[in-house]
Amino acid sequence: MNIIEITKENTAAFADILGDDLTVDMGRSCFRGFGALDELDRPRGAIVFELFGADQNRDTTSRIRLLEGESDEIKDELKDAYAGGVREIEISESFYATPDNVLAEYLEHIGFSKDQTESKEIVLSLSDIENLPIKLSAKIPPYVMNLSRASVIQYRNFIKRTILKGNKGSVEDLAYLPRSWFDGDISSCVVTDEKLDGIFLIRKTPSGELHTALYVAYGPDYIKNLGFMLVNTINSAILKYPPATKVVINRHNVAVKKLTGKLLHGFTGSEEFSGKRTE
Amino acid sequence: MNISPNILVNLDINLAALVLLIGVLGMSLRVTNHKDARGGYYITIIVLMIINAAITVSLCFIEKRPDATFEPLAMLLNTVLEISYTLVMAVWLFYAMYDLFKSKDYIRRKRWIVLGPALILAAVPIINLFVPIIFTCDHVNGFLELPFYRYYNIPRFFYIIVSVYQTTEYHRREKTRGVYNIWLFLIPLVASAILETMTTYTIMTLGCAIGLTSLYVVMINEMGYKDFESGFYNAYYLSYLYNLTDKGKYELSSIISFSIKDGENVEAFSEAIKTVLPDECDTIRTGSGSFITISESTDRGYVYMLTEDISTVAEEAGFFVNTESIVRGKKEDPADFFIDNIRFKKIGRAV
Repeated sequence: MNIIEITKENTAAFADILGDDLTVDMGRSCFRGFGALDELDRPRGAIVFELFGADQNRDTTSRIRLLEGESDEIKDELKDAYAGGVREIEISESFYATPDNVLAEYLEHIGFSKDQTESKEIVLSLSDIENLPIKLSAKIPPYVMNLSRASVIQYRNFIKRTILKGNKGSVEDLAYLPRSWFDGDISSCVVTDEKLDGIFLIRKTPSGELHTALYVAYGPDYIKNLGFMLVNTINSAILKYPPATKVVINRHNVAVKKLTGKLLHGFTGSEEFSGKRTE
Repeated sequence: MNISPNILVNLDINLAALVLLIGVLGMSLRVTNHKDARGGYYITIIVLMIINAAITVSLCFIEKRPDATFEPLAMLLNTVLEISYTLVMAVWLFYAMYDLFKSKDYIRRKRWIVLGPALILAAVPIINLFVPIIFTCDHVNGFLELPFYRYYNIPRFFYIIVSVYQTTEYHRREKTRGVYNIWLFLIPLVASAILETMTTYTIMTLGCAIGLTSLYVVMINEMGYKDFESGFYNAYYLSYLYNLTDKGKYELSSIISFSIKDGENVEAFSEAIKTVLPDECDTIRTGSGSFITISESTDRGYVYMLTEDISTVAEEAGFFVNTESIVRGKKEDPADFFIDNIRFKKIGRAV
């Protein structure tokens, strides 16, 4: 078995294993991976992990997003390649979250803890959101608009500002992603003094899901503006996508957890297995 | 004409205030940037207070004269005085809002919430000219507060309370440190207002004058760090930052240096670059055509974005710019990083 690093140039070869979303994600600076090729250069397995903190002066951690192999031997070779990556990148801790018990057991076998937990992600449909107790008929002021109406420089200036303030949402490589990575027709922004003062970024994945990425506002009216952006984005999404479209909300910090707790009564994350390992 | 000792004291206090205010107005007109809204609010407050001080001085000669000749004039002047004090409070709130948020759009959106009550309060003394509600002024008693006056006076101080609340709330949320400039105006104002109620002297004008002078001193101090050609900080600001670093209050973490050729238009270059600089970073002119942009963030993605944007916007504006950047390592001490890379100008390693 030949273990190679998955790069932008060879990602397509592993597309069947990675799936549509991860295949595109492999082009991002915070995603790394290794693939297993047999003697005929056919892909037989892959491991993909997402790095956190590599760009800042804090410990780098890694989330294993995928580990697949046609046999345990292939998985073992992939996990050895991962160990090499851990040393090279100086990863201090690895963790995972998966609904797949077989994978969780394998990871437990190689030194990870294993707990049954509620997923940080809440998945619901656009029609579920339409039925939430949110006043979607609220009048949106003219300075709250879809991101597509803001200029690239306005967008980039806001991203720099929010990174300086330490807010990246659930997007670790926010600085490296173009504005077009997000759906500008449903993402919202607040414009004050010709600059962006708030943003609600939504990404539409290749598989057709809507993922929340960054939801933040600054300035004296930030609470009101967060509300306006939420309503604007929901209304825009309802207009653009069918009701069955899946929306994935990543409750990556306390603020998002509180907000989803308030707004999404009755919706919880699914059961999954999670664990970590100190490297 | 016999002037009582009480009135003489008031005359002295308010003449002193008037002289101080005129002096501060003259000095601040020379240094205030006409594009800066904060400067505009500041000048407006001084002008209103000059009117107040001039009226208060005039009233020393007009009120309580032995005949009723000047009663209508005294009533009119007191009316203008009350309106002016109300406007001072409202404009003060605009000043404090702009000082905090630096946003013309935000103030424009809130202007009627601030001005509305002020205009209603300003209408009351005008009505009082025809129907005495809050005060009277005659040659026997001079200025006489009617019972309703206290209910009229108290709402004006809500402007001060709101300015204090929004400042403390903002700094608590943003976790910023340091002395709030608004106290420089509010402490003398409130102290003089309390003294005025406890004595018979009109001290508030002087209290405001002292407060406005203190704000002027802060403005001048801030300008000591400013490079007027580019609008960025000058090299003295680095000494200030180094002192903060030494005290552990500032952690320099990233430096982007960029320079243009000698002789190129620094003002035009600076205007172009300002369009991509976040407010949260500091930019310092270190030489005739060289600058550094620094921040406390160690995020290499931010440094990458800003370096790219500086190059792009400079090129679009027709300038050839050299950029280099460096980010403090995980184990590097902030003070050592500052000394190594700023004081000895060793900026050069790419991120």
